[in-house]
Amino acid sequence: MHISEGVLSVPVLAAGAAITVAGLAVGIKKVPPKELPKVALLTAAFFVASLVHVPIGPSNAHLVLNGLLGVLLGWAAFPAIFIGLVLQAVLFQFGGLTTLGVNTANMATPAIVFGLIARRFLRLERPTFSALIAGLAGGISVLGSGLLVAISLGLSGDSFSLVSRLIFTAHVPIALVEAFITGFSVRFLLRVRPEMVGCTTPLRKEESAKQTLNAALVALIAFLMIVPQSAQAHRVNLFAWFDGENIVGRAYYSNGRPAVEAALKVKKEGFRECFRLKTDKEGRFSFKPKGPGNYELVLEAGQGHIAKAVVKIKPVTASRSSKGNGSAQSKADAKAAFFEEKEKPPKEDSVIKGVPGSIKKCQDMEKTLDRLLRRQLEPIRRELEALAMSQSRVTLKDVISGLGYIFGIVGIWAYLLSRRGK
Amino acid sequence: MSLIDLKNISFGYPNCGLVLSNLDFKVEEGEKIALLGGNGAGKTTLFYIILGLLAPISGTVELFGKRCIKENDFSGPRKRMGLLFQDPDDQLFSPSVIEDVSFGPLNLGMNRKEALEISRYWLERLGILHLEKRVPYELSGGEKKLVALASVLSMGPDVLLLDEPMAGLEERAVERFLSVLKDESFKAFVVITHMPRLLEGEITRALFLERGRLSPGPSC
Amino acid sequence: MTCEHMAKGESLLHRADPRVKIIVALLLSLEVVFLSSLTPLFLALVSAAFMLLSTRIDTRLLLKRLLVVNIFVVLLWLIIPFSTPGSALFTLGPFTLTSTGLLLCLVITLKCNAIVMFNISLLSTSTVFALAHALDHLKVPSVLVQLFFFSWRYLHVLEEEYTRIKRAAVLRGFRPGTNLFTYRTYANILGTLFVRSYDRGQRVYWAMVCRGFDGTFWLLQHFRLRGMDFLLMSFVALLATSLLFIQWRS
Repeated sequence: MHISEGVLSVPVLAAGAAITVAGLAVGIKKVPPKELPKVALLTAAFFVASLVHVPIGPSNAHLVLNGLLGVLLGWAAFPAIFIGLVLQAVLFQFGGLTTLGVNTANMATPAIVFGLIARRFLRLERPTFSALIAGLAGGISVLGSGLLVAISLGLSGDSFSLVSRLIFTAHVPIALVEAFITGFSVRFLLRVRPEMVGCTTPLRKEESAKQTLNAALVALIAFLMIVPQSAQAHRVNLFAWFDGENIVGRAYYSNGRPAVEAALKVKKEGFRECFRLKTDKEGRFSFKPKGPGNYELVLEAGQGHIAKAVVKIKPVTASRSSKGNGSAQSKADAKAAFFEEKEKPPKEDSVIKGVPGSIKKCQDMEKTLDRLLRRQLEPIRRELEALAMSQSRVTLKDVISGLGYIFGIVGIWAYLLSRRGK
Repeated sequence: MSLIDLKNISFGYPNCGLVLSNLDFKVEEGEKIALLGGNGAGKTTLFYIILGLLAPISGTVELFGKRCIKENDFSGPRKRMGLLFQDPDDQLFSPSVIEDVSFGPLNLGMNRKEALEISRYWLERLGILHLEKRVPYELSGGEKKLVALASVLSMGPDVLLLDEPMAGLEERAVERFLSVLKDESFKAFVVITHMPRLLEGEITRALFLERGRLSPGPSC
Repeated sequence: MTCEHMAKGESLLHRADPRVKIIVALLLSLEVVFLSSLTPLFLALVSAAFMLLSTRIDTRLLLKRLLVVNIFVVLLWLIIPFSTPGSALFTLGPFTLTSTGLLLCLVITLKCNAIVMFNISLLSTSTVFALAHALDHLKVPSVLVQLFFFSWRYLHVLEEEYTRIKRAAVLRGFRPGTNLFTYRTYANILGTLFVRSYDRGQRVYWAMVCRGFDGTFWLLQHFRLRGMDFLLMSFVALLATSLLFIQWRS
């Protein structure tokens, strides 16, 4: 999508212009006189293609096809896209002339990065696989452009953050359609004019091995960049505390989704036995611990996601201590000794049978106080929970910085490779 | 010295098999050849090989008595041969007719004044001087063909290679074209055509391209 | 669609030197981008409208163009006044309209329309070929000028080819819909267009080479500066300085 005149701030326009000038400098060198008519014809073809309406659901969308252009032209896509945008601005006033730099950079950068990568994987003898790779490149290029457009708007002012998010979202269905069209197009070209996508004769064995190695290296780098982010994104968190009577808490993923019916293993320090329970439909759990001590909670949320929390319960006044201490327990009693699954009627009565009424009144007061405190602290507890959740959530900034890494490293690699290749 | 001498030429497009196989083709001075054959027989391909635009898989190309192998070898002969493309849109790219027709002469080293003069001469000869300032892509198919022809003739070639020059031309234009062909200034020409009867009387030899080889066609 | 309707005309701007017009258009657009106060922006818009009207281009055509450009601006009007922090004017449920937001939208609208009107009046009043020649004279890298030139040259040919291929498909019963078959058909149509373009590009190069082309492009059209060009330059210089002055004062 091109951004029109007058919207972006001056620094963003200048940065876009700088990137475009650099890109053009490299791209121009990749267009020797022999290739110029071909590049020009393809530029014109893309201009025509960009006016094609393709149905998506109830409406239509204009094709972008920058990924395909990247696959076909590599670095020459920079001048091609630039000229295409100039023509659109001059003929239709689509986009603009002050925004040429930003628009070209937004459209050409993902096109070249992903186009060059995809090109390495295209094989004459594997049309379906090649089509898949090309489709992926096509879809990601459009998403990448959408992201860059959103960033350009976002950097121009806080007022644009909502608009930029909407625009990025609008690119998602288009990216899907473009992925299909790019994939099918490359499949067509492999059959009809394979040299257009860089596949002429089947490669010699050594060349093929080197290319596969290169491709594997890129995939590895990209993977390494993505994996920590995604692992982070799917981290499970455990929030637990003692409210005076029970240990309560909540288990949730980094994106805020509750860890439903997740297995929780509770172990008290000094005991070998574990107590297991499950979180409810909201990821919450509650159980009554017996006695002071350090309780270690381990949450297993499937797929190897584990979260740990420790709840330390300090010893309180003797009147409230439950039946039995921690240490001198036989194995059989251990579980019963320090855990109570349900809220059983207070055992204190059996202990304090026969105790004078004043002590009983004290205990009642404490119980009431506990209940009151719990009620008062409950909202604070939820706030803390929410705060902990939001801090661990992956934000747009994280996604962008992750993508930035990928773009940067892959872009540098692609540039070096294309210099060596020619 | 033959003007064109192709020996044992073989050529095929990838995945298409051989289009030309062990073909010999010689053009001597004074010859006027009609090249016939079915669609897709390879006639245009033969022209491309003569001018070194495509490299044959095997065989040799000799132009004006000299062996031509590398790109540089062809640049001299190309200026002495005029190739008219089948699709005039491939040939015309300047913003005005006069600029397109002067493109060749300018590349030959003439100055602007000479180039314009000779361009106007040929436009007049073909009866299209009134199209001088027009934009080529706005012209009709037939008009474009004549402009393309003018742009080839303005270079004063010794040998003409014309790929279906009369397709789409109306009667008056065909007459003008034939009158130009009668001009003695060409040493030889080879015309690809599907209408050999129009050239009756002008042709010295007819050749048939079939299954990769040339054979004598019906005598004219 | 891609015909140069607007370039046909006899007004002053139509006849001015394209080199001057390109430089002037660039200058004015960049200046408007820097403006931020309402007064100079209004002045810029009025001057741009004046220049546009002086070209005497068909009003319906102009309005159509401006409409297309302003669709995005309208979108911004629907969102930005509600998403900009500032002093609230009124609240509608969860949405708060701020005066800062409204001001920003107004500024964008003025800028966008002023720049577009300047560009139409200066650049759309010359043919693309003339602009390409002018760019070459202005020392823009030759590769870019040639790309511009050739792409424009073959645009119509390719438009026709696309129409022909698509029509052939439609005549055989193709009805576009949201399904994979449609996308594959479009991919094949576009693929055919790309292959034909690629082959044609090859032939165009061969045709040039056969006529002795060695990389140099000969330009027969040379421009001469005339009185009206100086008039245009002085008008623009005056306008530019006044806008800057007013901006600096406010």
